[in-house]
Amino acid sequence: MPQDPRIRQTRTRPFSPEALSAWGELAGFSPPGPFEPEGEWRHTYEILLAGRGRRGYLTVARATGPGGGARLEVEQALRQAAGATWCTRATLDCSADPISSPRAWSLESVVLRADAPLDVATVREEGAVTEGVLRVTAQGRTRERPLGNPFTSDWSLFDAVQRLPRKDTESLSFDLLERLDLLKPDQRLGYRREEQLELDGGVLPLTGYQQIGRGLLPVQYWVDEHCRLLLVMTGPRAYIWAPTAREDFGEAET
Amino acid sequence: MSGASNSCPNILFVTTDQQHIDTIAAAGCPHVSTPNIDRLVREGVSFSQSYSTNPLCSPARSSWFTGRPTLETGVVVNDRAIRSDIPNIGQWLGTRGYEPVYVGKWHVPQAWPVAVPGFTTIPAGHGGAGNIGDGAIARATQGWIRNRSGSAPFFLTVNFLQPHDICQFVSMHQNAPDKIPYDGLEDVLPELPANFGYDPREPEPVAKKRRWAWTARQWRYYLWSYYRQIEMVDAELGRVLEALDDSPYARNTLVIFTSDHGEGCAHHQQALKNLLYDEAARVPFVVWCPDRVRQNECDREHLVSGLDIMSTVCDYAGLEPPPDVRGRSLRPLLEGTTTDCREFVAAEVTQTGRMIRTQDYKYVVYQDDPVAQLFDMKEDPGETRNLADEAKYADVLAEHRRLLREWEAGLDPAPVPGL
Repeated sequence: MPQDPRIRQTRTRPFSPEALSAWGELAGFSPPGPFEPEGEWRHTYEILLAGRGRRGYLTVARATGPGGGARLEVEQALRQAAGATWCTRATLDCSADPISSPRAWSLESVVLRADAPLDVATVREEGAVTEGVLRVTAQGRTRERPLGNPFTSDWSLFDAVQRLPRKDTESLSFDLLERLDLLKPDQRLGYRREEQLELDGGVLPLTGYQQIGRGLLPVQYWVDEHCRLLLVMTGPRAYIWAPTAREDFGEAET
Repeated sequence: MSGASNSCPNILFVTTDQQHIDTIAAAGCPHVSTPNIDRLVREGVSFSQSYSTNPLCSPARSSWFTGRPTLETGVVVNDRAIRSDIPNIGQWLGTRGYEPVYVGKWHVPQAWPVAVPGFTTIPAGHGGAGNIGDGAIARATQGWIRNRSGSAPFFLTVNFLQPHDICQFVSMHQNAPDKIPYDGLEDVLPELPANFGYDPREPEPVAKKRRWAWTARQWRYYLWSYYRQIEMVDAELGRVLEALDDSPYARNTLVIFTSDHGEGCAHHQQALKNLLYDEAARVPFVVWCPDRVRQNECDREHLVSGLDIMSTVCDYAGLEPPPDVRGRSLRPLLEGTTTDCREFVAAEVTQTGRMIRTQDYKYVVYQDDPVAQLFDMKEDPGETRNLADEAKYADVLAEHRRLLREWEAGLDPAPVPGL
């Protein structure tokens, strides 16, 4: 285990906004003012692992896509063992529905070793949902799965939770295609609570939502008063809003 | 049998880390959804009496990859290297016509090395974080299966870390308040196991591991969280199996699925591992190859061991195993050509603990500890009544002590530094 007490302390209690703040993980955290969830935006998050420190970043950029829904550009990089990095890039065209259901997407998953892609381990896929059937094509081969429920992806939810109507949110039920790869059925997303998070610069009002379902530890989403998604946490993993995380990634501790 | 030919089967050896044996829906666990492990169980042979050689990560893995007990590999605790004069399965197969490929956790000694001796190594996975590393392992494996161009048979081993993240859960919730932090969960928490209680006549190293101050509600929340992590790794396994299905190798690949050790799961009020109770020592073990192996067969009779991986793989590869392997090929059981039972399996733990498991009994003893354990595994499979002090079982105890003595005397122990 790492000897750095600052890192070690992050495995001494469950993640919450208050715990992250108490551990100093939100030092200098000052999200800007007004924000338009329906507009064009780019959010970048550092990925924190309990007891392991900051191990990667996630960027989700939104533009208006065909049909009036969102087009999301996603990039995630996660440090792996032995000096490798796992990078995933995806473009999703989503429906204009409350859960930003992906309608079509393309994805590339690459393992980088010494900054060079390991071609033999690279995956490229195209996906689409039409008439209740999920189709994923890789190397000319298509797999189909019927979908019985509303359907979305975890990255789509980074967009969708910013448009939920706070306390009046009724639970949303859906199946989840995690990472556009793993189907996790029977998810429920609903309101959690309000929280006044004390930071060095004052108090940050947050609204929390929670998602519970099969194949996942519960997920908490926390948005600010402008509906900007600032924090996501699930089990020993947290996404912390950090605009420079992508640039900082190369200098992060290994 | 000098080398593998192109007609030899490919072998996909997939492992999880810290998976309790009763975590498979198809085998009767009502608390999880595991469609992918279920598929292997329904289309293959599963063994319910399957034991880890040493229920800790590095030791158990050293036995998988050598066919030798940990007293011989020298890996009796974590982070030790396999004795240099014992070949690992990659080195053995790689010089005999197979293409050995390694993805995921290794841990003998390094958990995630740049290169695993004898294997082409794909660097994916993350120490202590199966929740992010297993996705990389599954994706990289998908890629390898789809992109591969070699023609030699492959030995591909894919080593996931989940549900090992339960260690993080335990650490993060050690002092958590007695409250379920999510509305709506309390009503769906699994019940505690029937052997949540335990016989206090235990060796001291066993009793000392029981350091949890959780309430029943907290234990149940721990169980609920553990089952979600089983579902996570099941989903990753599914991606690997789909890639195999879509590949040209689907009809000629033997899949072996197991775990290095189990998890306490509140049995005997234990969490984590490093114990010889069944919750830690017994592991899932499934073999799948529809054209070669019986289907939908759950073997509840035969004792099998992590030692048997090497011999079984070599048998299907048409190769002699390395000299002095201690395991057995399970091929006759998998194909239904024999019903012969071995007399016992042995296991070790924490350098001084030893277990002998016969058809009817389990005997556990720790060096220099006055308390031994003897359980009637037919009448008391939950190991709740220690019979070691009961005069009626004196002969049984003596017989198991003899088996242990003779087993140890037949080994070629490694010099273990630092003991």
